[in-house]
Amino acid sequence: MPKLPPAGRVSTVPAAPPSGNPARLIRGTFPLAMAGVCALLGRALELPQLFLPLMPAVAALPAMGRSGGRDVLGAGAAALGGVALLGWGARPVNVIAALAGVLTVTALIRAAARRSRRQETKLARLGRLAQVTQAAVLPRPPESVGGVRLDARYLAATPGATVGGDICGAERTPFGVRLLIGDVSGKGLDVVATAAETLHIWRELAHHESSLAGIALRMDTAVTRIHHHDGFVTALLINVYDDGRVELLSCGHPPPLLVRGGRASWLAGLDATAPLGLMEMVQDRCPTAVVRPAPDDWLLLCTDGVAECRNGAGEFYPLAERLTAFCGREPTVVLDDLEVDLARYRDGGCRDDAMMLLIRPPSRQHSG
Amino acid sequence: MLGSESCDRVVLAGRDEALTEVEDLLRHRRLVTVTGPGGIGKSALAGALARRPGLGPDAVVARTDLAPLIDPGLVPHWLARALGMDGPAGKPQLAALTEALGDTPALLVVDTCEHLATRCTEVLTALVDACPRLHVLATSRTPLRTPGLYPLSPVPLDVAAELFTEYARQLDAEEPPPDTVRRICALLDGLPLAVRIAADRLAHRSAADVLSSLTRAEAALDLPATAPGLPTRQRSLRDSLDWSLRLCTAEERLLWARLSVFPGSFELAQVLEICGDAALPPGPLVAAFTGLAWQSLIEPQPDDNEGTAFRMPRTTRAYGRQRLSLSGEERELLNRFLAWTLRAS
Repeated sequence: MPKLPPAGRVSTVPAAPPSGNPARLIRGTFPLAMAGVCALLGRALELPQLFLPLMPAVAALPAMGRSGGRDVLGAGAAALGGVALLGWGARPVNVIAALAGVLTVTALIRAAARRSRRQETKLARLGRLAQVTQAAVLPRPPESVGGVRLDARYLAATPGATVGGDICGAERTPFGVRLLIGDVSGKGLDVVATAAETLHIWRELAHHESSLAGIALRMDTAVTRIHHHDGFVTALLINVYDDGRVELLSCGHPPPLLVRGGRASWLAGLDATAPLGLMEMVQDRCPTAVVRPAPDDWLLLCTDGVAECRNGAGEFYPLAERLTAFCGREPTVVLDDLEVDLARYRDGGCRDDAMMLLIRPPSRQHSG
Repeated sequence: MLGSESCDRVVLAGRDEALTEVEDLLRHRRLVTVTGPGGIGKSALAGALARRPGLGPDAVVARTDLAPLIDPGLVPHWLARALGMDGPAGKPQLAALTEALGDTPALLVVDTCEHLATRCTEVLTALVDACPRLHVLATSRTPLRTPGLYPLSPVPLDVAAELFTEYARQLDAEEPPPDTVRRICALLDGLPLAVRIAADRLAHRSAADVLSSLTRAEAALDLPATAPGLPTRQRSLRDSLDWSLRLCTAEERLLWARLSVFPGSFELAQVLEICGDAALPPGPLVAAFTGLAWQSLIEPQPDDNEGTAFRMPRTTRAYGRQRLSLSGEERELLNRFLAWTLRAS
């Protein structure tokens, strides 16, 4: 699983990679060699009428691989040469039939090759478009926001997708650095629209709402209004203040892991409220907790896909233990290791979108 | 189970005049605060007004109770959620709500503003100023500093008696003797919540028993309200007074306790003499006195023509007396009161 590109930079899928010259040479000369071998065998064994019908098959050889127009014409030419060599002294009707076969097959293969080339180009363009769209719909946070260093990893439940129901965001705002990790209920690509809308609303609110509770209440209203979604969104809202305090508000979301002195543990004392979309059920209660991280502390935020990941036997992934085991190296390496480990663990178990966001608060807070 | 209309009829007995007056005031001021002590029926009155088709059929009518809210910063959010309008996410909630409301005709009923009085005043004033067709009816134990104020008085004794009898009828209890009912209601100062709580006792006891238990005012404090639909702070008179106490400053709490030595009415001059000392110097005492009056915990003596005499409702006084006793000051205050009485006579 590659590291996610930061927002704004989009890695593109190259259109039909150019094949290497040796491969092209082999593909180009293979029909010629086959035609030659057939002609020689037909002549040597004095059985040209047996080998003549094979010539259309030689002309059809380019259909076995991805071939260009020139390969098709080359194979056709080789097959015609073969017909000429074998047709010497054979019955004219056989020669004519073989000639007609070669010409028809060449024409058909050429048409098919053109069509498949066009489709490939289109697919490649769509692939590029999908990449750009996915990055635009759910951009990943940059590597650093207002001195808070971030590292994100995402394992989508849908094969080939880099978006799903998990969202994360980071914004430098007048109220400090604000972070979000969230998980839209539901599975598959249907939740992507809701995820994008939720993230968009959070970004707007993050810049204008002075309190996390205010953001949560307004996001709750927004989630209940998203017409194509009748579920809920769990979210962890975080405000990193300039003085180093970190305020957290959990809306039905797993708490973060605190990595301190090489040991990871679930952050205690975080009283969660209901998920966004269901806050009316708890009379809009929005309890927040404030922590003050020590120097070199990390916070790992994750979604249910990580916190509640199970293997084939139904056992939960021991996230805190595994993270502790990987500690002691660069955060990027730790996260890479964790991601590989998680992907291996969940293989065979139930799969959900899984997102991890590693936060390293700014070090300037400790100068005072 | 009675329908809400039938409940209204009971709860709103004797409130016809108040309903008309508040509706008129609301029409002219667009922002009205109904004030009065806990349990007097502010929310019931506001609820009844919200159900009246005063603003036309298209009007948005929304209601919210701010009692559970602690953070004053979230007042606009609670109003927005009650109205079901959020406005653009790119603006702070108050500005966004203002924009969303625009000139939509709306009646917003905001219950329990007292613990967030300053913020409520700011937000409600700003909303009403910006939205020309918005009407706001707030209820608060402390008056909001807005032009439209409506102090709600306890119901007259005969209305309270009717209320009590009606509740008794709902419980299928034996018809209580009118004289006993009037005495019960007098002991409860005609406070509708207290009347309702006392009437609930008739399910298990006779009216005479209820009366005899109420002669000790302290007993009235802890009678549990069994009627459904009452908020937590109104499950008993003590809960209601606890809520009021939380809104008081330290000086107001001290004065509340000390004022409980007065069995009847009192004037500020007497209060200064008996309740004032180093812990409660004249300046803070006068401020606390005004504060208690502001929060309807003491009220002008009804039959006093000069308007200088105040009294404390009986259960409010019983609550204060318990706090005085707990503080260990009771004997000292009683001595001062006796000394003053002897001097005055």
